[in-house]
Amino acid sequence: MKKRLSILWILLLAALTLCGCSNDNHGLSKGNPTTISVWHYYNGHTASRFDELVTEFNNTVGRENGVIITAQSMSSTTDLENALWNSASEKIGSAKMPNIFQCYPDTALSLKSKITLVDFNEYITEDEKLTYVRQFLDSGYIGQDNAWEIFPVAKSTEVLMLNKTDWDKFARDTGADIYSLQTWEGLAMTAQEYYEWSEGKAFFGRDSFANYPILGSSQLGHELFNDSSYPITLDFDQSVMKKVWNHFYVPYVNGYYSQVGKSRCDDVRVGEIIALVCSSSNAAYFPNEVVLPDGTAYPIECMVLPLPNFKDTAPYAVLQGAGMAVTKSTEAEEYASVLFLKWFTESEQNLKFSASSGYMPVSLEAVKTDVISAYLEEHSANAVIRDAIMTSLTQMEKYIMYAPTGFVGGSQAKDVLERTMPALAIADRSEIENGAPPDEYLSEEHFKEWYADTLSELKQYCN
Amino acid sequence: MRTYITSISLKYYVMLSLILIILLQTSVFAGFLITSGMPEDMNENTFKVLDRTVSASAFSLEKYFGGFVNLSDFYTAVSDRTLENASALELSISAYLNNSENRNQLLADITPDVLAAMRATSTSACFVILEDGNHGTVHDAVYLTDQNPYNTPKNNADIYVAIGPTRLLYDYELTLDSMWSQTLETDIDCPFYQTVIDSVASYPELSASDLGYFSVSNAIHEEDKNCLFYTVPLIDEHHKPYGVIGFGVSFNYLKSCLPDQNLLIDSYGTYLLGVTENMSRISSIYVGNDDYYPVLASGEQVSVSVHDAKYGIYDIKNNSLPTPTSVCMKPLRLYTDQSPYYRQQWVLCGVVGTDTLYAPSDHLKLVLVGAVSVALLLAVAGTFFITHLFMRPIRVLSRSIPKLSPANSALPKTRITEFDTLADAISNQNDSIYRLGNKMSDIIDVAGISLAVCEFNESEERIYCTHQLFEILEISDEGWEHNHILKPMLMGKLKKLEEFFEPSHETADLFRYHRPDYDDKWLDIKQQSTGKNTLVIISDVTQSVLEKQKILHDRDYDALTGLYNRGAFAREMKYMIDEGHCTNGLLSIWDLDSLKYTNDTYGHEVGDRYICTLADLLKRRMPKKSISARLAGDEFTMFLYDEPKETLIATLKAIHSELMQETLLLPDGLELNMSASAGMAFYSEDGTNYPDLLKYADFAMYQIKKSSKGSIKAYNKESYLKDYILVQGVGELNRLIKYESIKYVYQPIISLKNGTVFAYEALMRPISDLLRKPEELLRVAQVEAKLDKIERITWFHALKNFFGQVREDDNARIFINSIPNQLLADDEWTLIEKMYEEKLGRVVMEITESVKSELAIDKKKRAFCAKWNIPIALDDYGSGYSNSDMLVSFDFHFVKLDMSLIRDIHKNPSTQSLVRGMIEYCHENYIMVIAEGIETMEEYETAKELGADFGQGFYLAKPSVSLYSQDL
Repeated sequence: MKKRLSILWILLLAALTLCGCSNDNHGLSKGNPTTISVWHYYNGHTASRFDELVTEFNNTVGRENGVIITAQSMSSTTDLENALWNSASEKIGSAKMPNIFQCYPDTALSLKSKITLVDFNEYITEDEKLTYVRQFLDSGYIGQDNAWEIFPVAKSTEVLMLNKTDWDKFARDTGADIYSLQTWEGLAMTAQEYYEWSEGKAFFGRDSFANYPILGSSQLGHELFNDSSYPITLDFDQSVMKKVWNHFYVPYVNGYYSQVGKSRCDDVRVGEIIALVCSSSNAAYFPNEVVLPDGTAYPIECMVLPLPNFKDTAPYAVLQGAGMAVTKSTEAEEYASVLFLKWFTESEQNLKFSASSGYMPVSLEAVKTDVISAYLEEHSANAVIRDAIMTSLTQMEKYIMYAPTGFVGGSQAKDVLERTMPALAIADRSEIENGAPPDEYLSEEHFKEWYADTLSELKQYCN
Repeated sequence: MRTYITSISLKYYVMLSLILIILLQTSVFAGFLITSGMPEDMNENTFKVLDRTVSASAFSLEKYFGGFVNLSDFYTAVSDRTLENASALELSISAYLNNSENRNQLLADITPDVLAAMRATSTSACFVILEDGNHGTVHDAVYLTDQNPYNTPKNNADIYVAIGPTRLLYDYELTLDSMWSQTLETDIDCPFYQTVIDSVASYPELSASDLGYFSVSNAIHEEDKNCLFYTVPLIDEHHKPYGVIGFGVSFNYLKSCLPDQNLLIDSYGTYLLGVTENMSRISSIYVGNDDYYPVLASGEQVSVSVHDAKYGIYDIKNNSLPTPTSVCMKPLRLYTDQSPYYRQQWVLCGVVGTDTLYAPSDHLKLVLVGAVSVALLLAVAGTFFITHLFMRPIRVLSRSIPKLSPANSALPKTRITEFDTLADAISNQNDSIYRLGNKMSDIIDVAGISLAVCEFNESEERIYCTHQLFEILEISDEGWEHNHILKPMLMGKLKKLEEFFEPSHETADLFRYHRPDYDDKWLDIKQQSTGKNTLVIISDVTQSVLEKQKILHDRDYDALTGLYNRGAFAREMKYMIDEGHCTNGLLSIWDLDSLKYTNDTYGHEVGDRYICTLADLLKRRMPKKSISARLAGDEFTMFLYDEPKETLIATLKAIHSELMQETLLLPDGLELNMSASAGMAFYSEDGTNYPDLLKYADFAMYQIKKSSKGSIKAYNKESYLKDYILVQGVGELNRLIKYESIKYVYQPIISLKNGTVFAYEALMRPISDLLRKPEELLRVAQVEAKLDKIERITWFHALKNFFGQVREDDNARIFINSIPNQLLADDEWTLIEKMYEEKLGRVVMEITESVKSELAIDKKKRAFCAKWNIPIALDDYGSGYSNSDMLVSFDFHFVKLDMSLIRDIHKNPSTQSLVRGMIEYCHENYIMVIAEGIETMEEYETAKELGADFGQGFYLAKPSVSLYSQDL
């Protein structure tokens, strides 16, 4: 048998050598497909949409070109980062490094100490680049010599979503002005009014807390993580933080703001709050009814509003939505990976994914307002998702879109910001509810204590 | 590269042989591979791989399902908690669960157990559904989903609450699913719930774990289209169901457990989970890629047929599949033998395209064909290249050979011994050939032959030529060396000479080389081509041509007068008339009137001058369109042509009259008047060929000469016809008489009574072209008074011949035609008597009656006849002079009826009666009758009938030289 195999090999080698392996398919073979693994953090609804598109790719373009995509959700950015780190470090029991993985610049930069990423410039022409939103591409240029290592697939920003049904009742009774929700100051004030009107119910909660101090700091003239020089410098301004504190911690401990479940959408669903700031990509989770703990339920409408800002500042909104990086491997695998990413971001697929998830497309064609609204209309998308996307696009036009700087340690630093203030607020609110006097918590000292703790924690990750 | 049909380059021989060997080798090689059974082995390997893959997947799936099938901890935890909560309130389980608050409390309490069970089993859903006692379709439940069971984050971030009380949000920090609700509404036939609840009553003897049931249903969680459920009833102390616990495995998760790409042999294959009936039908529960295999989607049924029993491979019988598809089917053991669902045979199938099962062997075959083809191609190309390389020196050599020259006789080396030896031999040969060439040139030189040789070859640049070429043509030999000259150079030289060559009239090869300032030369240029070679031989034949011309002149011209002689004139006339170079003409013959007299009187010198005077006149006066010649002695001839007849005559007469005025001064001082007689004949009125014209003109000249000398007479046909024989026949007659050139033939005379030969008539036949007929001979003889000579010849010859050949036993008579008024001399009679004596009695004398008989002579004849008893026959009776008077006046024994009477006598009754009368008359007078000229059978029959005694004629017998040569 062995002998026969060796004969076969010789023949095969001869045939391969003679027939020539050079083709423009970069080593892909229809009969012998290349399997490409994708790790992402999409969850639930969004993950399903992503999987659907993967299946579509596999049955069409993939089949034609000999590419099979296997997608795996890692549930959350954190879990994804851990899994990537384990794989990149080749920890025992860890999975093989995926060909494509979703990541923020921070993660990518960290991983680059272990692995090499593909520079998309090798596979994508300048003409092809012109079909993408320039700004979305820019955040992917993280490598040296302007290497383009993160490919945008879908982008999101934060919006304000409102339980319009309950707001209308409140506004009817109090004359509250919806425009007050344009600023953090107005929002806090309105929340207070609502608290008083509803006899102790919280008005507002927010996801991804870290964006608030980072964007706020920028608005107020202090780039928190300043990457204009290397290494990155930390500009954790006390007065700016005080303003941030005043418009989150303070309303929170007063009970105007709240967070219960893991997601603010869930909080709206159970009637805990009626307004929230979350990623536009969470629009799918905004409930269409409120179910009270006693089981009574009533339908609600949603209203999507632009992200509030500090009063008298230039409007800022975060630009998020991790891109995809491709691990350096064989030419066939790299080419196949890029083939998938390009396909996924073609106008049609991009729109399909956006329309069902609330993400903004990255294709220049798909991101056009008329194109996207026509598509949403035609495919009768979820109203909340539609509004979220349209509002996001409006923000894109009118706001300064802030893409968080990626740096090594950035994730951890952001995690510090994400954690400290809300955790303190939740704990302190709980104390107050249990009877503790609020003044102690509203004191300047308490702020400074938080400020000092946070600063020292941040300094672990930045200079 | 030069190729000939008959010879093929060595390169091809070598190449073809090598290719043949390679072909043979490849065939043997391919044959071995194909007959080795390798493709079959490969197919079996593929089957084996598929079998093992699917078996392994089935095993791990069984193990995975086993994980929650056998999980009694979860069941115990839930039932214990329920019992505990109910007991705390001192209620039975069913009573406890009747209360909504209690149910929510219980669900909240058991949520950690659900979470734990979910983590322990890695399922994508885990749930507890409670009965409320009302048997309604709305149930309180806790239903948690995990989209990524393989991933277990610490904070349960991936766990969603699909169904459950709101408080779970607060109690356990769980995320609500977008489709979250507090209660579960089950359909009536919801298999994973209702079937299990119902089974409790149906199988009272079975424990809860034995009633575990696998089913497929729409997923509770929105994001999973379908889910595979395993549910177990919760049974209370009264063996009544109060809910179910269960696990769900979403198809999405199942897909990641059964990755399609695990089916190594077909990356586009997929896994199918189903229930089979007798391995011949599969009801699909789950299929990995239902987009590509909609026929196999959950809930569909397909039939299968065995493909390979050993490895459990079956073909799907369904036409709507994109390609023929096979499955490798492996049973799954999901139920224990206690289970009521034990008979349900679950199977895991690897679904692959049928062709992929054979892909490796197909690929091998393709590769084999490819390899063989490429190898062949390489071999051919290689062979071609190598032979090309190897053949190059040989090719260079073969190209150099035609370029060999005495200056360069070296040939390139091939470094192949055989070819180098050959090349050396050719070099040597070349040298000797050139030496030979020089030698030939030298020989020609030494021999003093003015001969040049040139050899052209189309494909060669150089021309072989001997140096004599330049000598003969009297041109410079620049560029010539070693007997060779470059083609363009020689051509250039020859081109300039082209205009000097004039072709001759005589032969195609002969040219007059007429170069100004040089003596004319006559060159004979012969050329012979063989293939591409042309050999040209030029010889200087000037001397021989000039000699020949002189000879020709001597032949054609009369030495005395310088006029054409007879032969040349005849040739010219032939050219003019026979070959049609003139349309009309006048031929005249001149005869000087008194040459004989002059010759005799003054001598031949004066005679010659006399002749020359006429010749000079003719030369002087001859018009352009004329030819003149001296025929002989004093006879001249002149042919004028291509003018109107009158002009021709006038011209002739003018010349004649001028001649008549000429005088010749004789030695004695007297002047002799020139006189000539001339006869003329016209072409083409009188004759259309030269001999005739000459004859006629001569005749005319002869005539005028006989009558009046010194004048011209034209040919006249009538007088010619009349006198020609006489004129011409005299000489002939003399000749005939002199040489006795007369032969005699004998025509039998047949007896009409018995058919025997009675006699022979001797008939005269002159041996002469001119006097062919006896009548002509006799006429001339009569005019010339020489009939006696003929009579004598007749008697002597006819008798001599007759008796010379007549047989002893043959008593036939001989009829001799005696000329009527001629009589032999007495001594001649005496001679005849002496010669034949008694035999004379057999002679019959035939009297011809062309001339009136002179009786005196006839008396003498009769006396002779009477003496020797010779009968007399009258010839040609019935024509001419013969008449019945003659019959009376002579005593005839025989009468020969003239052939004019016999001709067509059978058609003519009047002639018949005339002849009958004649015969009767003859018979009355004892005369025998001979019918002459019988030429047909009818004439013969009629003559016989009329009573003729004998017959003579062509019908009976033709005249013949010998007596017995013909049958009668």
